[in-house]
Parts: sequence; structure tokens; C-alpha cells
Amino acid sequence: MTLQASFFNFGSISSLPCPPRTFRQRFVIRAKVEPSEKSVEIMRKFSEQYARRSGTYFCMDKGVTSVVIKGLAEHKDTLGAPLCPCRHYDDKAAEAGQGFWNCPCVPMRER
Amino acid sequence: SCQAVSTASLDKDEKNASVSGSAEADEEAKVGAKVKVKVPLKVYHVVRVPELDLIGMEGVIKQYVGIWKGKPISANLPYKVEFLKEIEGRGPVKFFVHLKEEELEFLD
Repeated sequence: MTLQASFFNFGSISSLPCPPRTFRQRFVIRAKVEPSEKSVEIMRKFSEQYARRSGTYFCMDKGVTSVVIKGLAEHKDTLGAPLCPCRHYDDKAAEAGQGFWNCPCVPMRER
Repeated sequence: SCQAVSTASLDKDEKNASVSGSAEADEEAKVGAKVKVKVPLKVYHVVRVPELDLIGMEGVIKQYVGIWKGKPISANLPYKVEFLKEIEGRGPVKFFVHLKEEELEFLD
């Protein structure tokens, strides 16, 4: 898990009666969950196998491929199924349960 | 007047819920309908058929996948249609294709 910490200062400027100007420091910690190495490895092999069987190719920019495979791994870890990481969902659990967008998604499989 | 406003908003919410609920029911009611593909559409997932153009083919809606256990799903091809195609040397082959409303023509 990587932690990104940032802090910001703000001064209070107000015409209302309030305590004298003070600087406040506040740490904001945002935790970004990285997928497990095992899941990344599983999804990498899955993706390679699918590309081989379907006669398709990874993106020329392997950075894109990497982000997509990590996204698949993260969804597999959190939802139990590799939901397409390229889309936004209102209810990820329902989408993973239904399966339309589970990799390989219906549009990719059929069209 | 506050009471009137709150009642009105509640009625509106109930109306919205019933409208969306009935829209979903309409879609579910289409299951079993005979349809025809009205646009050129190639699919690549039929077993041992590398590429197949569905235009003009008739099928039956088997499932509406836009709703799952009462929850809306973001599937953009929500109609799961069953087709039966006669393939030379193999006889009738059954397969499913997910389609959207714009690609379909409902047959009575």
C-alpha cells in the first residue's frame, strides 16, 4: 500500500469577529491500494493467453497495458472478478456479479 | 406550505421510482419477443465460424441484462438474443449475441 501525504496551509481572512489570523497545517493521507503481486501475475498471464487465442495484440505503449492489467488485478482482489478497469460503475459489486463487463467483456468477446 | 412542499417532493420521488420500475418491467417484458437484426453487424464468437454478419437474421430475446437482482447494470448491449443458423456440414448452430435496441427490429 502506498501512502500519499500532503499538507496545506490556509490563513483565515474574514471580516467577522474571530480569533487572530492563524496558519493551520493539516495532513491529508490518501491510501491507494495496490493489487497483490499474485493477482497481477495471474491477470498478466490471463491477458497474454487471451491475446494469443484471439489473435489480438497489446497496446504498443506498454505503460497502458501495465495500467490496465493492474486495474484488472485490483478488481479481482477487491470484487472477486476482473471488472474492466476502463469504465466507471455506480455499483461495482452488482456489475461484477452480473458479468457483462468482466474481462473478457461481452463487447470484446463478441465484436 | 412546508408540509405541502415536502409531500409534493415525496410524491415526485415515488413517481420517479414507479416510472423507472415500470421501464425496467417493460424491458423484461420484451423477453421472448422475436427480433430481426437491422444493421450490418459482424460477430466473431460463434464456435468455428471466424466471422459472421448478422444483418437480416431473426432471433428471440432470451434475457435482458440491464437489470440484475433489481439493480441497474451499465451494460450497453442489454438484449441477449438467441439465433439458430444453418451451417454447411454442421446443421443448425445455436448461439447468443448481445445487442442494443438500435440494432433490432421487433417482429410481431
